[in-house]
Amino acid sequence: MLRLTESDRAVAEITAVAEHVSSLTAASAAFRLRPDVPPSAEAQGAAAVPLLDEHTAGDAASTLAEIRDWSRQALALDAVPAVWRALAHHPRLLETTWRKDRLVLSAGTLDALVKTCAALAVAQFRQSDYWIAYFTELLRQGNGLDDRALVELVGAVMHYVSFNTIAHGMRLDAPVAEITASDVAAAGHLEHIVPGVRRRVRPT
Amino acid sequence: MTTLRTSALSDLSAEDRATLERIAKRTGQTVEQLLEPGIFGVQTHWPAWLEANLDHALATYMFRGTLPQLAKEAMHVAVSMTNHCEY
Repeated sequence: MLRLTESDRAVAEITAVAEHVSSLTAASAAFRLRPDVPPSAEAQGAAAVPLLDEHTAGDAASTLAEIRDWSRQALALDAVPAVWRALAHHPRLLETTWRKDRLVLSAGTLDALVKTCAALAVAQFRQSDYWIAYFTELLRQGNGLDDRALVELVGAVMHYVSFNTIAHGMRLDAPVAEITASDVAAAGHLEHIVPGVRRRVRPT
Repeated sequence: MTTLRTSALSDLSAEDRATLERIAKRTGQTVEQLLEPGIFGVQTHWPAWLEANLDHALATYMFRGTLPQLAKEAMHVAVSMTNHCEY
C-alpha cells in the first residue's frame, strides 16, 4: 500500500474500511438480516426488529430519504437497504453510521473502487451474506465490475486468507514496524523489503 | 519465534532442491534468497507447496486482470487486518 500510494493516509483509509465493515457485519448478524440488495423475496420477514421506512421512522426519516437517494444512484435500487431501516430505530445511531459510511467508502486518497473492493474482501472474509450481496451489487452497479472481475476478486481474497494462515501457523514475526511511505519508496531505507513475489515472475 | 527453523539446502532432497532452483529461476532470486526467513522461506520445507502457492499467486494476487493492483493491495491489507495477521 505504502509503495503504491506513497501515502500514510491510504493505510489509515484502508484501516477505516476494515473496521467499519467489520462493525457492519456485526450489525447485520445481530439484526438477522437476509440479503436484500438486489431485492429478493427471501429478504422479507426474518429481521430481529421491524424494518422502518420514511413514513414510520420519525426523526430518522430524513436520513432514510437521503439513503434512498443514494441507493437510486449507487445501487440502481429505489429502496432503502434493510440494515439502514433497522438502525432507524435509533436515529442518532443511524445518522452517525451513515455519515461514517459515506466518509469511509467515498473517494479520498484511495478511489471508491479500491475502497469498495476492500470492503467486499472484508465481508467475504467475515462470511457475511448480507454485506457480500450489498458490496457485490455496489461494485456491479456503481463501478461496472462484471462476473470475471468479481471472480478475480474472490481469487485474491483466497490467496490472502491462505497466506495469513501460513503466517499464523508458522508464527511469523512482522518484518517491519513504525514505517512511513518514504521508507518503502524508491531509494527509501526499506525499499529492499518489497516481497520477492512482486518481482518479475515467469508463469511456468 | 517461528514454528519451524529455516530450512537448509543440505536438508532437502535432490527433487526438492530442483524444485527450489526452478522457483528461484522463475522469481529472479537465488535459492539462498528463497530460504531466507519469511512467508516464502517457511514454505521451502515443502518446495512443491511453495511452487503451488506461487502458481496460485500468479493466478490471483499477481494476475493482471480487471482489478487495479492498488485494489488488490488494499484488499490484502484489509483482510490481513481483519484476520489479526501481524505479518
